[in-house]
Amino acid sequence: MIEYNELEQKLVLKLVYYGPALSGKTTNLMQLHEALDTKGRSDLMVLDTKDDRTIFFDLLPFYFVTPTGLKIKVKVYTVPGHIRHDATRKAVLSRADGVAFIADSKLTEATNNYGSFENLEQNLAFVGLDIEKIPLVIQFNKRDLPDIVAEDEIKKVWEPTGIKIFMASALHGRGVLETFKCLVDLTYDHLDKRFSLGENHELSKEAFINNLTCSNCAYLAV
Amino acid sequence: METEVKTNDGIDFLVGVEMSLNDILSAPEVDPLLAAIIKGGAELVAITDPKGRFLWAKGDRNGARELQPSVRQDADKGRYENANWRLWPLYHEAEPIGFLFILRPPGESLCHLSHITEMAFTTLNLIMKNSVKRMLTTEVHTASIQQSYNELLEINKKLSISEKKYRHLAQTLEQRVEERTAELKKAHTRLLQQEKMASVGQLAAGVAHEINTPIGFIYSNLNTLLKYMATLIKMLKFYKKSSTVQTAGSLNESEELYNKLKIDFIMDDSLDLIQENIDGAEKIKTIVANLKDFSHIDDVSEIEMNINQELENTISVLLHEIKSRSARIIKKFGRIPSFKGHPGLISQVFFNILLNALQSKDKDLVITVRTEQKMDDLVISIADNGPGIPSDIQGRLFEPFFTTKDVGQGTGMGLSIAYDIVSGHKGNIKVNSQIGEGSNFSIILPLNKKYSPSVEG
Ligand SMILES: Nc1nc2c(ncn2[C@@H]2O[C@H](COP(=O)(O)OP(=O)(O)OP(=O)(O)O)[C@@H](O)[C@H]2O)c(=O)[nH]1
Ligand SMILES: Nc1ncnc2c1ncn2[C@@H]1O[C@H](COP(=O)(O)OP(=O)(O)OP(=O)(O)O)[C@@H](O)[C@H]1O
Ligand SMILES: [Mg+2]
Ligand SMILES: [Mg+2]
Repeated sequence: MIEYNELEQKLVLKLVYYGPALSGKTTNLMQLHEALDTKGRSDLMVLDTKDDRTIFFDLLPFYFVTPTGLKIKVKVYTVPGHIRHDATRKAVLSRADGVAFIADSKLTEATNNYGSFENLEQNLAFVGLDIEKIPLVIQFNKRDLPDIVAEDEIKKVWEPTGIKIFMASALHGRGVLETFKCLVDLTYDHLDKRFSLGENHELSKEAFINNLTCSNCAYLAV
Repeated sequence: METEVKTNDGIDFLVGVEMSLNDILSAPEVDPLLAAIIKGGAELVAITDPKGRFLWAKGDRNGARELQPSVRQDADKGRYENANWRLWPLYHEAEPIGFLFILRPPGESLCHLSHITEMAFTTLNLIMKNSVKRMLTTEVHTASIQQSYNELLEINKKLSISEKKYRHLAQTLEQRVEERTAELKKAHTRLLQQEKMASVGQLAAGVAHEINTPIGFIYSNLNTLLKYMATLIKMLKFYKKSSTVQTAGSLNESEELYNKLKIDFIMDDSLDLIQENIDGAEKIKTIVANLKDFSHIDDVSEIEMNINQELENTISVLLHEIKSRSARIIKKFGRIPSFKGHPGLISQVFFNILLNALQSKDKDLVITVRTEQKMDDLVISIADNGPGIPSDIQGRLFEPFFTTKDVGQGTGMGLSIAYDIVSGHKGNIKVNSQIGEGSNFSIILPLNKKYSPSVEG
C-alpha cells in the first residue's frame, strides 16, 4: 500500500493493471470509468499518450470513508506496456496491493504475453513484492477478435496455478467489471488479514466492493 | 507499517504519494485569483485545508486564521451557502482536500459576486488539475530518470571504453592500410622475383641438359681421337724411319713430300689441338654441371651444402655478364665447413649481390669473392672496386623497392630479398662502403643457428 496514516485515519491503496503493449489496459480503465458511478471516484487521469500508447500511466482514483471514519483511497493505475518504459513500470508497481494482468488473446501475441508476465515477476521481485502472495487476476482481452487462443487452452495452462482467469472484450465493456471486482475482492481479503477492516472498521467485504464498483448499470452492457 | 521500497541507491521509486493542497497550489498561482475576487467586491476570500484552516487568504479577515466554527458546522452538514458566505469544496482524487471560501461585505448581496467566483472556482480547479498532472509526470519522470541514470552511467562507461578503442583504430587505420599495402606489394614482387629466379634456373637446367649429351660424346670422341692420332703418328713415324733406311744417302720422293707437307709439325700440333679441345670440352662440362646445380629445382628442405661450390655455380650463371664487362673475379675461397640451409635460396643471395657488384661499374671492374670461417660463423664477402655507396642511403639498401636505378631497370628488391633469405637462415648482411673505394657486402651465416651471428663492424 502507498500509505497508512494512523493519526489521520487514512489508508491509501494501489491496484495496478499490468500487461504487454496494446493489450487493452487503458481501455479497461476507461470502461471502468464509464461504467462506475461518479460518486466516490474521480476523473480518469490519462497522462500523456502517444498514438494510443501509454507513456507514463493512467490513474483512476476512488475515495470513501468507513463508518468508523477511516478514509480509504484506492488508486488504480495502468502501466505503459511498451518494453522501453520499464523504469516507469517499476515505479508504478512499487507498493502495489493487487495486480490485474491484461493479456492479449491474439495468437500472435503469445510471446509478448509471456514476456510481459516474466517482466511482472521480475519487477515485483525488484520492488520487494512476492508474486505468490500479492492479489493477482488475469484477464484475456480481445475475445471479440478472430485468431485468438482457445479458452480451453488458456484454462488448461492457468487453472492449475489457482490464479483467477477472466475472458474479456474491454472495447465492448465485457469482462471489465468482473475482472476488477475479483481483484478488489482478493485485495480485501489480503488487507483484512492485516487491518481487520471488518472488525475494527465495520467495513464488510461487500461494502468494500460496493464502494468501489457502484455501477451505472444503465450503461454497462454485460 | 510496510517498509519503504528502496533501491540499492536509496532512491524511492514510488508513484502515487499523497498530495495536499499545499503541495498542489502555490502562492504565485493563487494570489492573482484571490485578488480578482476581492476586486469583484468580496470582503474576504480564502483557500482552506479540509479542517477550515486558511492556507491563502485576501481581504479583511480581522485576524482570523480559520473558518468560523458556525461555517464549519454548516459545511459538515452539507450546507455550503448562506446569505453572507459561500463555500466551494475542492477535490483531489475524489477526496475533499479543502475549500474556497468567500465572505460578502455586510449588507450587500452575493449575487453580483457569483459570476466572478464561479469563474475563479473553475480556474482554480483547472490550475489544480494541471498542477497535479505536472507533478505526477515529474514524479514518474524523476523515478525513472534516477533509475535510467544509473543504467546510463554504466552504459556510458562501456561506451567510452569501446569508443577509445575505435578512435585508436580509426587513427591507426590509414597507417595500417599503408603497411598492409606495402606488405602485399612486397610479397607480390617477391613472388615475381622468385618466379624469375626459378625460370632462370629452369632455363639453365634445360640448356645444361641439352648441352650435356653432345658435350658428352664430343668429350669421349675427342679422347678416342687423341688415342687414334697417337697410334697413327706412331705408325707414320715407323714408315718414315724404314723408308729412310732403304734409301740411305739420298732424298727420295716420299721424303720430299713428307718435308713439304710439314708432317712432323702436323703430328705435334694435332695432338696439341686435340688436347686443347679436350680441355675446352672439359670446361664446358663443368659449367654445364654448375648450371644444373644452380637451379636446385628439386631442393625444398634444408640440406648440407658446400658454400664454395654454390659460389662457383652462381659465377657460372653470371659468366656472360662477367665476360661482357671484362670483369675480373678473384676467388679467395677458404677451407670452410658445409652449411645447412636452402641452396636454392642461398645462391639467390649470391646472385643478387654479385649482380649488383657487376652493375656497379663498366670498366676495370674487379670483384673479390672471399669465404672464411670466423668462430661459429661463415663469412662470405663480395667486394667490388666500384663507385661505392653514399653513406646517407646505406641504411635504406635493404628496404623493399629502394633503388637508384632508372625506372624499369631495377626493382629495388634484390637486396631486400637477399636480406630476408639470410635472416631466414638466422644470418645477417653487412655493408662496408665508401665513395670512390668500392663496396663490400658481407654475408654472415651462423653454423649453429640457435645463436645469432656476433655483430661486428
Ligand atoms: N478488438 C478489440 N480491440 C481492443 C480491445 N481492447 C482494446 N483494444 C484496442 O487495442 C488498442 C490498444 O488498447 P489500449 O487500451 O490503449 O492498450 P494498452 O494496454 O493501454 O497499451 P499501452 O498503453 O501501450 O501499454 C486500442 O486500439 C484498443 O481499441 C478489445 O477487447 N477488442
Ligand atoms: N655493389 C654496389 N655498388 C653500388 N651500389 C650498390 C651496390 N649494391 C647495391 N647498390 C645500391 O643499392 C640499391 C638497391 O639494390 P637492390 O639490389 O636492392 O636493387 P636494384 O639493384 O636497384 O634492383 P634489382 O636488384 O631489382 O635489379 C641499388 O639501386 C644501388 O643503388
Ligand atoms: Mg495504455
Ligand atoms: Mg640488384
